[in-house]
Amino acid sequence: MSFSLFMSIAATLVTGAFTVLVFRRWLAHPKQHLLAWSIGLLMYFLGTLSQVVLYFVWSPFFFGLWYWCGALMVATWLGQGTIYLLVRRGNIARNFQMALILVGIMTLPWVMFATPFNANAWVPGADMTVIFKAECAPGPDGVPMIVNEGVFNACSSRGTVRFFSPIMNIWGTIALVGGAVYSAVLFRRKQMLRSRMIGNLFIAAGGILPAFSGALISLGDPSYKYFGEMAGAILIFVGFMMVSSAKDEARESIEIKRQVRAVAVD
Amino acid sequence: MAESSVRSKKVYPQGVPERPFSLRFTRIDGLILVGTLIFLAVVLVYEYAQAGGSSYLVLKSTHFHLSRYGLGMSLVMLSVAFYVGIVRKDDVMPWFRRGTYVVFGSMVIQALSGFAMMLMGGVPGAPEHIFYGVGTMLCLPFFIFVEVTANKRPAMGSYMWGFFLMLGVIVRCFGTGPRA
Repeated sequence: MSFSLFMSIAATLVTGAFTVLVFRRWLAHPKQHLLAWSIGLLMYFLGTLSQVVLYFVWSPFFFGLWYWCGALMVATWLGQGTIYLLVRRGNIARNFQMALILVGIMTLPWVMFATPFNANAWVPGADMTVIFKAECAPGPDGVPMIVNEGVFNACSSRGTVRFFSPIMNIWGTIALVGGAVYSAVLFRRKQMLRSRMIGNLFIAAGGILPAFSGALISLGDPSYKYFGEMAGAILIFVGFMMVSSAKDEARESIEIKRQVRAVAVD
Repeated sequence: MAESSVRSKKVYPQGVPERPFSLRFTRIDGLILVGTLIFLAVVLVYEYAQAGGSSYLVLKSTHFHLSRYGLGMSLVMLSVAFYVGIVRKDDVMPWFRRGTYVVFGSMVIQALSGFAMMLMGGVPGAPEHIFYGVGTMLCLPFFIFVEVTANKRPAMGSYMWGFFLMLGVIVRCFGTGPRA
């Protein structure tokens, strides 16, 4: 089993379990941030699952799903959960979500039905992060020319759905990582709920890893993508568990204080 | 006693002074509706005369003029929303909400004319025009939904988002529309 396949399967299992966990938590406590995180994790799961499928067989459907989930939706939906948690003023968080749904509705049929994929670029066991776009070099007249074919067989992302990828990733990463760092700093300053502070740092690191490895892909080095995906999923998972257990601890301590107060009054 | 110069902001609870989808007209939203209908009628009559009975050309011109109308109206409505929401810090007035419905209706007509042109064999300059077109049509309903269900008032921010995004998508749409 190759390293990339192992990493993809591990990331699929982790994100699948994490999706079920967060979704069940949302069913028990229907909070908007939990729903946004569930959707984000479901996208993460579908993206990594598509990656596993694409390792063995070529499928335009799974390639479209891989790109739509991985490059456009995961970071923004995870970030949306953090926006719901941190931005309580007015209807800002709901408006952000509507903008996100709008971009999702626009781009899904665009990727699935109107983007030409070059199936010749795919071979069994291919590294999707290497072959998903064409490798280009400046031609004799300065115009970029395709050196190696890619599934997106064009040198420019202008006029294609790839135009949205940097916008969505920057938006999502700032929301997820920025929000987690902000919360961690807040808890540190208030000297309270240490596990929630550390949990937020884990979430921030988990958000930064895939973004960092994605940025490396743009610079031409895809070597950390699979590791970044898997480690990111695990770190966010650990961070979420720590933050959630801290919430439970806080709830318990409030309950104990309430009971003590009630006994004192009696 | 000196009268206070500080103006209290107007905030309406949900469903006050009227329910979001109540069917009535007041002066300003009536003007927006009548203005839109006159604009549409003039475009249709003029273009029908110019096109010599070709329904495709009439649809094409209507689609074109409605896109410019959408650009203009989104600029005007965004400015009004900005003034009311940011400068005056007031809530959404019923006439503004109904004006937004009129703009949304005109975008639906634009989308339908585009769809009809496609059925007649027309192809836009770039394929992504169709997705930007769907985006233009869907921009407002999402934010109307946020506003009409918002318990946190004032909620003019939703319309600022809606018209700003619509403006952006229309501008992006322009470059991909007509065939080169």
